[in-house]
Amino acid sequence: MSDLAAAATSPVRIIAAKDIRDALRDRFIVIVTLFLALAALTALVTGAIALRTDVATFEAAKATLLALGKSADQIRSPEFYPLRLMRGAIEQTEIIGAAIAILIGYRVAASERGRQTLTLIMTQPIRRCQFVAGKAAAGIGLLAAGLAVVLAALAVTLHFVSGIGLGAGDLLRIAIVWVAAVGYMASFFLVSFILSLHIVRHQRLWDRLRGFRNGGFLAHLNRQGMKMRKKSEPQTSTAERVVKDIRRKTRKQHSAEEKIRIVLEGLRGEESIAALCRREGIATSLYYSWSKEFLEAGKKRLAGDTARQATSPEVKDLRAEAAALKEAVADLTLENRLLKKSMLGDGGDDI
Amino acid sequence: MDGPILSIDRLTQKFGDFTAVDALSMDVGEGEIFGFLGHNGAGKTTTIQMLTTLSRPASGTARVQGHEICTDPMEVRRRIGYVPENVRLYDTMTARENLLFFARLSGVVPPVADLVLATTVMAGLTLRAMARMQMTDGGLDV
Repeated sequence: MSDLAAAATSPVRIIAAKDIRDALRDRFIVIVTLFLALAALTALVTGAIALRTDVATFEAAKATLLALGKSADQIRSPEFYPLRLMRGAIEQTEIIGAAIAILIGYRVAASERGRQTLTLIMTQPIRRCQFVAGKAAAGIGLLAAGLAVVLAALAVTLHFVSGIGLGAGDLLRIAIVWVAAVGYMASFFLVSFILSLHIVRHQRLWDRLRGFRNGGFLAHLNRQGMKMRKKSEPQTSTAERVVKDIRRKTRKQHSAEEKIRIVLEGLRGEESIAALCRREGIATSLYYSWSKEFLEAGKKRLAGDTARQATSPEVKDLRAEAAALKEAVADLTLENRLLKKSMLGDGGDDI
Repeated sequence: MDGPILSIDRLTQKFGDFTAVDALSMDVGEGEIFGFLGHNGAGKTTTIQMLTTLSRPASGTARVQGHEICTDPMEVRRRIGYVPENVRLYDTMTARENLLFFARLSGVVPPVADLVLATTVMAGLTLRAMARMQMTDGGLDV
């Protein structure tokens, strides 16, 4: 029995775990919670200021009445319930929380968009309701955790700001508020999530309704979106293609001689490259590519020539001849020296 | 198992007035490698979507290993592996985590992690599996 239950909840758990990890990994939930906390604390501080003003007004009125010799019972004393202070903060939390819930609902559904993962998941042996339950568990769990953090922060702040300790009853009330707020936010989350998911799955209908069948701006959201976009590309760009074809066919073909002439004119530098290109009716980029090719080709050719010259048979012969002559010079020098030595007879080098 | 592994019987799909697949009947035997060809709009994807239980046929039926696609979709899903066109896995997870996620969903019996590791090694993916993945058209970029 427990095996059966495990088998039924396992896909829900797997899907929920993935979404929660995603939300923690990109710090989305952290940022959202901080934002919520900031809004709530702002409301709390303004509430505290308002309460302080109330107290000051009450004290002033009381003093006036007493000075006039009247009883202070006529005016109502402001309430000092610490949770009253929190009311504004909680209202704020719920309004912003609802917006955040819608955002999370959309995000959870959108994470499956345009990537065919929904198809992969729906061909696994899991039920549609398990998939939805997993996603919902993750979303609502994240919301509940975020809200718990915010409420805890509020309670702690209140404890120190108001100076009036929170009793067990107060904490219980906060817990009830937490449950109610989670339920409230969860309803927004579910509406947003199911609507978004529905849009993902029935994009074809949407496209038809919006007249975007052949790939409107929402086409990428479709299960078939990628495919449709691919198909529609040649269709939507028919006009562009015709223009391209015309351009291609009417394009002037430049002969090699013309190219050399234009490049040389450019190199002469008598007029600017821009002016030259305008006159010749070519793009400057084309001129520069020609010029580059021209110079590269020339360089290559010239480098090849020197290499070829250096290995030509004539050069080889001349080199051999030069080597022979050098040897002859060396021989003669040596001979000359020997003769000189024998003539002087002292063998010294100092002449 | 006796008989064809896939048996399609007058499978039909309609979108409004348009009949996308019209009474398709055929059998595919066990061990057979079957190429399913057709021009654009021939109804290939529509047929595959019905066979993979992604959509319900307007009429007719099909059996995958003897399991009816309409009445027994869970058993059909347990027996098929389907990789759709243009699939992009989750780019928030590494390749390994993607494999783990889908392996767990498909009911791979533990130890899932070891099996995934073995598969990545087999595919020469070990180094890449560590990095966050990005799927491009039909290929894997890391």
